[in-house]
Amino acid sequence: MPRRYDKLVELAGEFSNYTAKYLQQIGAAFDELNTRLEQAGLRDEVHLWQPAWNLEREMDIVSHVAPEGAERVRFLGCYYGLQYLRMNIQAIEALRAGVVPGASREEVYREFLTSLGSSYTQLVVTFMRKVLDILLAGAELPPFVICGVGTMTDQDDVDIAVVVEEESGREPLNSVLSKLSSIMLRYATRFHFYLSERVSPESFATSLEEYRTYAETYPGDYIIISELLNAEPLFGDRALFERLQREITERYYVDSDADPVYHEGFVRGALGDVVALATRDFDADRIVPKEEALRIIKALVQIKRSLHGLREPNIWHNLQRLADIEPWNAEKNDLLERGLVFFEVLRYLYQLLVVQDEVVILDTPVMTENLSRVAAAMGYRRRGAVGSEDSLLVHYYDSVDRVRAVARDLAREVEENLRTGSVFLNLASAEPRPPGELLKQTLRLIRFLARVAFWDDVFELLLASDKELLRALVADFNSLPPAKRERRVNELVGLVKRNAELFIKLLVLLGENREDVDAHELFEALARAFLREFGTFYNPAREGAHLFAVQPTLVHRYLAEIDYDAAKEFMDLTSREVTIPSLQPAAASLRELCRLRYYGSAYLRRYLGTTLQKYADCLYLLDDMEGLAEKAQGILAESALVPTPAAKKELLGDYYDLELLRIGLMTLRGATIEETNAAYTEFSDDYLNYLFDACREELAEEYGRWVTSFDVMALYAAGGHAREWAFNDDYDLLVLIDSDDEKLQELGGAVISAMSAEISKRGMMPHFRLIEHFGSYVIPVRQLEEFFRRGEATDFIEKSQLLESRLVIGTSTFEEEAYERIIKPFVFDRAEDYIADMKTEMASRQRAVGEVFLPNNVKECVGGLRDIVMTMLICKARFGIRDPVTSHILEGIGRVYPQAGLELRSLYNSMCFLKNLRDVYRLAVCLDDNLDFEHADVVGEILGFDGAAAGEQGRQVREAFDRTTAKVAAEIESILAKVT
Amino acid sequence: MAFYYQIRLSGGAEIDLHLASKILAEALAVYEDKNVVQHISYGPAARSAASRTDLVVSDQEIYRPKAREVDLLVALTQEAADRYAGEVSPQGYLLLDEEAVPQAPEGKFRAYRLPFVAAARELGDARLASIVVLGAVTALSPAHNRRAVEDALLARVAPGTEAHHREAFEQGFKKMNELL
Repeated sequence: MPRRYDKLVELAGEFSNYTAKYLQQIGAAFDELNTRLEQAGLRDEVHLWQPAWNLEREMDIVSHVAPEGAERVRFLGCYYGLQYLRMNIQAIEALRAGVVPGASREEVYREFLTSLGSSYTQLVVTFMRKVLDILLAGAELPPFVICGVGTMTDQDDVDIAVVVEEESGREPLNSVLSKLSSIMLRYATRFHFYLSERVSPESFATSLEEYRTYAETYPGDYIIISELLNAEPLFGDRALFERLQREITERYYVDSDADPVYHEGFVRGALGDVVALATRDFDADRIVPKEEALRIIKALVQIKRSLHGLREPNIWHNLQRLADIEPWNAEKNDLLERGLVFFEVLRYLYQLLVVQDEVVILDTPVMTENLSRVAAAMGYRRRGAVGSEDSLLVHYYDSVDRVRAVARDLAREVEENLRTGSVFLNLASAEPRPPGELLKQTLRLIRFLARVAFWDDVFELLLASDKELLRALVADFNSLPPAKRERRVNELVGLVKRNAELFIKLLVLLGENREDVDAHELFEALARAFLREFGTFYNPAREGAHLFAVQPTLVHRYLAEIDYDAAKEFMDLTSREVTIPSLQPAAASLRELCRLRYYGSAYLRRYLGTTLQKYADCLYLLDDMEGLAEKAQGILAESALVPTPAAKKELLGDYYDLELLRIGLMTLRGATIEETNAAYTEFSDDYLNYLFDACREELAEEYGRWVTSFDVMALYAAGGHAREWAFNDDYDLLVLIDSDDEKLQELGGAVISAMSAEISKRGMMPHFRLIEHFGSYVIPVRQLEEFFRRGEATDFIEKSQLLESRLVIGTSTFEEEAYERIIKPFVFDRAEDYIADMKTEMASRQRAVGEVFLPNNVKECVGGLRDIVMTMLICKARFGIRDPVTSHILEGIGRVYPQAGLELRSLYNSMCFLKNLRDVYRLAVCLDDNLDFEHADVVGEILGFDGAAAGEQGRQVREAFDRTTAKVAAEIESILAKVT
Repeated sequence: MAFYYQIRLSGGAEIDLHLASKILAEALAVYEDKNVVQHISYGPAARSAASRTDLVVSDQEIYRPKAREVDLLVALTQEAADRYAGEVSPQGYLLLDEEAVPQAPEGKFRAYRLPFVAAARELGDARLASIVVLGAVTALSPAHNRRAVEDALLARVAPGTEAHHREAFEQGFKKMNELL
C-alpha cells in the first residue's frame, strides 16, 4: 500500500467508526486495482487520490480492468471508498477554512451543503448505475425505474423506490435488487426501501397498481405520500416514472383533477406531524435534530408543495419558490431555510465525525467531547469558561425554538385553509338526506382518513353553531333500529387499531356533550366497544403509554368521562409492564393517573382537573412528588412577579389547587398524618398570606390608599385549619381589628370580602366565625370584649373558636394584645365555667348524636374527632396552655399533667388513625364525614388492610373505626375525670 | 344593579341541610364564578330544631356577609318556620315540609308545601331529604343553574350512589316545578 493510503487512514481517523468499512474495502482491493490499471496503461486516467475529473468514465475504466463480475464490483467498491473519503476530508477541510472568525458561518454552511450534496449524489448514483450494469448484463427484466425518494445528501442511507408496471414477472428484478442492496450496504451506502416495505412488503419492486391500492386505502399516510412527492428517477424507464407521477402522485396536489380528499388527507397527515413535533418537550439528556427541527421544516415545505402545486422535489429550490409565491411569509420561510442549513450541517457532521445516529446524547463526558469536535468543525470556539459545544447547544435550542414558533404560525395558516375548504364542510350543508345517511357519509369519510393526525377543524365543525352537526349525527344514530346502531358502532370501533387517538377524541367529544346532544347511548356503546378493542392489542399498556405520551390531556379527559367500572378495566389493561425504555415514564404516569381516577374521589379529581386545565405537563409528574412541589413553588414565585393583583390571585388559585392535589396524592401513597398535615398547613398558610397581600394591593389601587395594616388587624385560622388538619371542606376564619375607626373597619372588611370570593372558588367555603353576632367579616376587639362581658349562655362556643384559633396573618404584638384582652380574662381566668359548659355540651351533643343516629360520622360520633377536639380545648383551658390546638398540644398537656400521660398518648394515636381515615375517605370516596363502609374497600386497601373478597377491607375498616371510637370515648372519660 | 340573593335552609339536625348548603355554595363559587358567603350554626344551635345555614349570593363582592332579608327560606320543622319566617322578604319564598310543618306562618311571602322528607323516605333513605331540598331550591332560585348544582352534587357523593342522589334531586326539582 502506498504512503498515501496511510495518510488517508490518518485523515479519516477523525471520522466515525462507520468509515472503517471504506478503508477495509480499499485495503482489500487497492493493490490489485492499481496493478490492473498500470497493466492496462490506464493508471493516469483514473484519479485514485484526487477528485475524479469524470466519475462516469473513471468508474467505467475501473470496472473494465477487472477480470470478471465479482472483481469488477470489488474494484468499484474500492474506488467508491477512495472517492467517498476524499470527498468528505476535503469538504471538512473547506468548512474549517471557511468558518474562520469574522466569516458568515451560515454562508459557509450553505456552500458546504450545496457542494457536498451534489458531489455525494453524483458519486452514489454513478456507483449504483455501474453496479447495475454488471448485475443486469444478460438479464431479461420487465420495465422498471429506480427513484430516489428521500434527501439524497443523507449519507446514512439512500431512500429508494423501485416501480414496475405490474406485479407479474418482477421476481428476476427482485433478485437483482437484492444483490444491488447487498453491494450498496457493503461498499457504499445502505439502501432503504421504505416505500416498498410499506406498500409491497414481499417485493423490492412495487407495481403501479399496488401504489394505487395503497393510496386509496391509506390516504393520510403522509410519510409514504411525502416520499412519492420527492421521487426522482435515478435509473430505468422514464416513461414509467411519468406514469407514476400522473396516476399516483398527481392526486395530492391541490390543483389536480383528482378527488380533493387525497390532497386533504395528505395535508392533514403532515399538519398533524408538524403540530405534534412543534409542541413536543425536549429531552434533557439528548438532542435529535431530525425530530426537533428537520422533520418539521420538511413537512411544512411538503404541505406548501401540495398547496401550491410545486412539482419540483428539491427542498432548497422550493424554499426559493415560496419566497415568490408567499411574499407575506417571506420572513418565516427564510427562517425555515436558515434552520434547514444549520440543522443539516449539524446532523451531517455528527454522523460523519461521531456516529451514524439521529440522537445526540449529551449526558456523558465522552459524548460532550464528541460534540465539541462537531462544534469546532462548525466554527464554534471555546470562550472563557464556555465550551464550544455549549455555544453550539445554545444556538441549537435557540434555532429549534425559532423554527417551532414559525412552524406553529404557518400551521395555523394551513388550518385556516382547511377550515374554509375541507371536504367535511359538505356534511354541514343543509341538503336533505335519508335517515342514517349523514352518519354513514361521515363514518365513510372518517374511516377513509382514519390515519391522518390533524382533526382539530373537524371537531370545531362538529361543535359549531351550537353543536348542530354533532347533534344531527347523534340524532341520526338514535333514529336507527338497534341492529343498524350496532353496525355503526362496530364500523367506528375499527378506528381504534388505526388511530386510537382519533377514536378517543371522538369518544371524549361525545362524553363531554352527551347531555346537550342526547348522546348517552352512543357514548356508552362506543366506550364499551373501545375497551373491548383496546384489550385486543398485543400489549394494551404499551399502546396506552404511547397515547399518553402524545396526548396526556386527552387521556385524562377520557378517564374523566367513563364510569367507575370502565376506569377499573382501563386501569387493569394499562397496568402491564412496558419494556420500551422511552415509554416507561409515560407508562408510569398513566398508571398513576388511572389509580387517581379509580381511587380518587370526585373531590380530589376536581383539583386534578383544574390543575391540568392550565398545567397539562403536571400529568407527567403524577408519580413525582418533588417535581409537583417544584412546579407549585414555581407558580407561587411567578405570582409575585406578575404585574396585576388579578393575575396574582389567579396564580395563587392555581398554586392552591396544585398543592392540594400533590398532598392528596402523598396521602393516598401512604404519607403519615403528620406529613400530610404539615405539608397542607404550610401551603395553606402561604396561600392565605399571599392572597391577603394580593387583595390588599388590589384595593389599594381602588381606594388610592393602603387599606389596612398588620398592626391593627389579624387573621386567625379557626376549626380544622387552626388544628393544622388537612382536607377540610370549609375554611374557618376569624378576623379581628383593634380599631374603632369605621373607615378602617370597612376597608379591612373589603379585603376579607375579596379573599372570601377567591377562597370559595377553590371549592371551600370560607366561614367567618362570629358573623352572627357582629354582622361583619371584621370584628373589633372592643366589641368582642363587650360581647363576652355580657356572658351569654352559649358563649362558650365563641370562646372555643377563639381558644383554638391560630394566628396566620398579623403581628405577635396583636396576638399578645388579643390574648390579654380576650383569652386570658374570659377563658383562662374563668376556666372552671368554661370547662363546665364544655362538658355539658359534650354530653348533650353525644345524646343528640344518638338520637339522630350518626354512629359512623367520624367527626360527630361518640369518640369521634369532635370529642377529641373538645377534650383538647378543655385541657388547654384547664392548664392555661397558649399553644394552638394542633396534634402537639396533647404532648404539651402530657408534660404539665403527666398523670394522664398514657391516656393522652393513646388518644393521640387514636386521633391519628381517625384523622387519617377521614382524609383517605375524603380523597378516595367522597367529602363526607358520614362513613359509608359499603364503599370503603378502597379506603381499606390504601390503609393497608388485607382481604380479597368484596366488602372485606371495608368491614375491617369498620371494625377498626368502632374499636378506635370506643377506645377514644373511654380515654376521654378517664382524662376528663383526672383533669377536671 | 348588582344581583343579590339570600337563601336560608333550616330544620333539625337529622337532615343534613349543611350538605345541601355546601353544594349550593359550591355550584355558585366553583361552577358559576359567583360570589357566595356561607354561614352555619355551631354548637347547640346546630343540633336544635331550628338549625340553619345561610347563603348570601352576589355577582359582586359581598361586603355584608350576614343574611338579613331572606329571599328563599326552606323550613323542615315548625320551629324553624316560626322562627325565621319573619326574616323573609316580602317578595320572597317559603318552602315548608308538608308533614313537619302543619302550620304555615303568615306573611307577604309566597309559601309552598312540599313532601321533602316523605319523598326521601320513598326513595328508601330519609337522609336524602336534603338532596330533595337541593332539587327544589335549584328549581326556584334564580341564582342557580341546574347543571352546575348537579355537577357539584355528584362531586360530593360516594361512587355508586350517584343514581340514588340524582333521583332525589330530580324529585325535588320536579315537585317544585309542578307547584310553580
